[in-house]
Amino acid sequence: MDIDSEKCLLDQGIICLGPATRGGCEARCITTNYPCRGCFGPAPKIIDMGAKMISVLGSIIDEKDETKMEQIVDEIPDIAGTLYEFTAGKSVLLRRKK
Amino acid sequence: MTNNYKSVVIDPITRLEGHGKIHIFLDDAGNVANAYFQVPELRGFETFCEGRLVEEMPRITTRICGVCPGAHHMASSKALDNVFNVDPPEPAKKLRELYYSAHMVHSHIAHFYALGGPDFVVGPSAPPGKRNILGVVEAVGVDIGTEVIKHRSYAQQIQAMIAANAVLPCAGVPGGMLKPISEEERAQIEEWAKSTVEFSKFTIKIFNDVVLGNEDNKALVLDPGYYMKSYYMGLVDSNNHVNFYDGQIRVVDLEGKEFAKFDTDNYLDHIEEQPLPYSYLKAVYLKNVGWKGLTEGQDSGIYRVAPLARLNAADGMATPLANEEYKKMMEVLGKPAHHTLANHWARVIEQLYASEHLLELVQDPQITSTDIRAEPNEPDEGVGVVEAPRGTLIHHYKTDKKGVLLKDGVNLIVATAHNNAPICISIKKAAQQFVKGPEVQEGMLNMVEMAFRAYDPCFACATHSLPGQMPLEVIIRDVKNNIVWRKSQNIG
Repeated sequence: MDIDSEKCLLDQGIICLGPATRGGCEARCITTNYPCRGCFGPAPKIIDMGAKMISVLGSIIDEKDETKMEQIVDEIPDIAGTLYEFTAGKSVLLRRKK
Repeated sequence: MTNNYKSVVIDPITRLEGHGKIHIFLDDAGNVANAYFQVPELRGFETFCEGRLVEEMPRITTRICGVCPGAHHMASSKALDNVFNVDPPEPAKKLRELYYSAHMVHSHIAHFYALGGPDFVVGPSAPPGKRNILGVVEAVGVDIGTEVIKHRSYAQQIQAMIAANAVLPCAGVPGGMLKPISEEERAQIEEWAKSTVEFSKFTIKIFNDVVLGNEDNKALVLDPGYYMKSYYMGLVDSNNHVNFYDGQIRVVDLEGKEFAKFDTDNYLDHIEEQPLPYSYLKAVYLKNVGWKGLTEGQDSGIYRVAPLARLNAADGMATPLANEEYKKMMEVLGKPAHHTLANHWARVIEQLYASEHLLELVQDPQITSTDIRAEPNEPDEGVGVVEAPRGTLIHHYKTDKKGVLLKDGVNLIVATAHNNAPICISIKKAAQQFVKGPEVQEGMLNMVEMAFRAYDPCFACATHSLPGQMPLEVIIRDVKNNIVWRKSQNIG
């Protein structure tokens, strides 16, 4: 596919962690055409990067039917690995009971 | 028996990338009975990459090392081309090579001036506090020090221009690159490349003056304590010239005769890994010769990679100035050159080649082309090989149809793994040559460290420490260049 470098990658169907991440890497998604994986960690006040991204994706997936929603989500392989690529160590996902 | 031995431990070893440890055992007479080189860290990249999407690999594997992320990014991008069965357009390959030439320049400058060079410029037995980049700057002068930092910075900025960030590159995808360079950027890179060629010529001159022009240093390079015969491996182009980005893998034997030459996909037919009981880092050996333990000779499958090995495994350099220097070196040392410390010599020749090639590529009419990406096909399996600054780097991935990495689907063989067994042998030989007990001097131990340092080993992370007290002077000037604040420590 051709990438429009003027348009948000999420709008083009490419999973990008830009909305939830801290900037400063000098490699912002639309200037590089490379979808962000959040290596600088979550933006301030975000406790869990993957959870935040689920809410981001939820707001852009334009589908009301639950079965179809599941189908759309199933199209994304390794969603946990992708949404937590650099933040799994601090995520709620890995939190252990004390 | 070992109970009678007195042991000496060098931990941490210094001026390398990552952590390592040397254990030297002395006999009753105070001579070296044995020496071991250990890598005490385990990071497990191959395992935690299982189940990930393969196209994430150029970003995940760059986190293996902060010094050579560019090498992992390129090996990984090339592996992705093969996983997705796509051949990038010619301009994409040139853009990758442009990026990669800058990467080699940055890394070789860092090693020669900051890691390896202090042993020659300041001297192998100088106080540890002086044996570092600041000691080098003190010896050669601030003006030259400024040139070193400036040109390393150019190389880093070129990488950042092409891949967004010099340390966290975002550029390579299956089938090519994501962003072309503009004419403005091209012109800037050209200006820097011209300056870098001059600087690399100057680096060769420094090497000639400081190492070859100094009797003590020249004797060290030729010392039998730093001499080891082995097979050599490196990537070569169709003319058997050194190439960092692409080509076939060529192996030469102890006499310099071609032993094997193969496509990178077939690497498993030629090399095999061997665990060592005392180290987390495996050894690698030539399958068709066989593993005979840590021994030298034509029957031992141990081979070397890194600058000297690349020059030994090739017939010359692809650029004119570097090729002249190549011939000079081989005339002095003979070919193949078995002198481990000649890695430093080979490294400055490679720096000149990388600079010349950088200039060639940036003047190529295709370099600003926007035709830099081809459509990928269904993913399966692929190998990507480049010459990292420290030697041959292999990435090998296997995926399912969705591009998810399979169990045992990731194999990474890094330069320092190929060099693990030879480093063990080199350290033992150097220890036997230079360490005499019972009173072991610090200078003796540094000469043992020089045996591994020549390989520029990268133990998979960017930490390295400066030993002793760091000589440092901080001067703050106002806008009119007046000194308003000055603080110095340990300046001689």
